[in-house]
Amino acid sequence: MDAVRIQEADFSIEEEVNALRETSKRIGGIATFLGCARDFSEGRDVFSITFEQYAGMAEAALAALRTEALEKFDIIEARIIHRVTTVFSGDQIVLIVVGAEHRKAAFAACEWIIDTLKERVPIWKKEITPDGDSWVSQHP
Amino acid sequence: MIDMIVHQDMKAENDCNQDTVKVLFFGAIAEKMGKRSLDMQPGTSLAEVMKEIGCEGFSPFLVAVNQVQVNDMSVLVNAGDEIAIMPPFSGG
Repeated sequence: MDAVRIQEADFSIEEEVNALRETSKRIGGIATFLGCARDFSEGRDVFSITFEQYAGMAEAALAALRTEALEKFDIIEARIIHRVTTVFSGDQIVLIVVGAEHRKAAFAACEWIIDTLKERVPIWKKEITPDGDSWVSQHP
Repeated sequence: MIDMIVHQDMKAENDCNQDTVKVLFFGAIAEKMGKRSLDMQPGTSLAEVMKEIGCEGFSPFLVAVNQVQVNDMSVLVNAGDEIAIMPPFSGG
């Protein structure tokens, strides 16, 4: 499986961590970030979240993020998987897995990737609530 | 005057016309426009495209030309170009 993917289907954290570990025996620390769907946001219940992407540009932006992270941090490998579909509370949305020789670089790269993903990757989410639908504005 | 050709169905949206500029809308902007794409004649600037479409009020918004984000609205658009007008991203 590619290290960077946008897909409708759910993903397995274990499979992604194992895929990362298989790339190098020098990896001594792995940091993961898992983004999940909440049932409450902006003071109201959320029934589901629907994602939209700019196909092509979104994949390219994710791949560029991974490349930049590998250059910027002292890490060995990184995987980024983002779902674009309709998800319900508790469902998995995005997974970032970073492997490094030591933990500090893995943690730092993982945080940088999710923060930068929110700024640079053309994906949008719409929350479906009991009071109607609304597009989500950028999160800090 | 720039000619706008609004696509009414997905089949028309999927047609690739190298003589025109394809403008794509996403998220809340697509909903406000009531459409996901339209074709325009080339040879104008991004600023003029925005004015002609009538979406100056969609602030803030981001623009990409051929899937590369641009900030310079004086850039000229050419036949076959794909322009995306996008709300700020909210993935993750």
